[in-house]
Amino acid sequence: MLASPSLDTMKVLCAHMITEYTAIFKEAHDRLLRTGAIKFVEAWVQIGGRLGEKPQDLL
Amino acid sequence: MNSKQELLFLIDVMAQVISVVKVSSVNDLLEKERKIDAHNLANRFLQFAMTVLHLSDDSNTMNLPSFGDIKLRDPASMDVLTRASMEAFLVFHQIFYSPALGDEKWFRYWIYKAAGLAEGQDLPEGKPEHQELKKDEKKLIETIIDNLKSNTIFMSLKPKQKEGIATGHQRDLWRWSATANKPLSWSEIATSAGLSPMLARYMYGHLSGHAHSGSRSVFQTQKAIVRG
Repeated sequence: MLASPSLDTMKVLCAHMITEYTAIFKEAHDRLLRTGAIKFVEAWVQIGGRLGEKPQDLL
Repeated sequence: MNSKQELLFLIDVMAQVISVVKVSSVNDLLEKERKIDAHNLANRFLQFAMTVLHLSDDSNTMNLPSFGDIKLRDPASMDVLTRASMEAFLVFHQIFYSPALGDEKWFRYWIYKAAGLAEGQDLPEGKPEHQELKKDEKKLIETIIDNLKSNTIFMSLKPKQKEGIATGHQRDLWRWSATANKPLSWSEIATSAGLSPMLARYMYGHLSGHAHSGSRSVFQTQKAIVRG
């Protein structure tokens, strides 16, 4: 649910930016692997792809 | 984690991955220039994200001499910066991430560079050093046009479009899609980047309303001066 539109949108955008940036720069990807945050980043990318499918997302 | 802690965590991860990159180690000069621009754009995005999180802090105050401490609560400015962040990400996606083919990759990049340089050509003549800068940047635009002459997408453009690149009247051609054979809209780029239609279309429109002071956004603006 978009309880806080700017913050939730920023989380989606950050997750996408991390994914694309680390795809371009290998050393950045190596660092991402060491953070242990990949699952969390992937989860927010997926949320960003589905947001709005359910009516309650628009509340 | 609450919502702000989640954003802080993602910003911290992003800062970590950006901080380890050394673009100077790239050997090919053109590729190096492109990578530097990608890296700088990611840093720009990171700054936007940090400022949005900072603005979301309910304890922010400002001391106005006539009013004392006032609360600094400005969700509309958060929306404006979120829109800027979305555009920064979409430019990153379109210029640096998505192009698969060589001609499309370099076409978008060179057009994006030329568009930025052409903006400077519109500025009024100022100090002598500004005039020199304008001359240098004009030469850079000409070099870019030369680079583009062997590019198949550039060759397929209409003469008016080609002229518009040098004069700055075709600034949106970096959004070009060879598949669609036209420049994509922000919404189309967002969808191709994997954002849901709700984010790509409706959220972008909502955020843009605040950036352009649309009437809906003005109605939602609360009293600016609230004592802390």
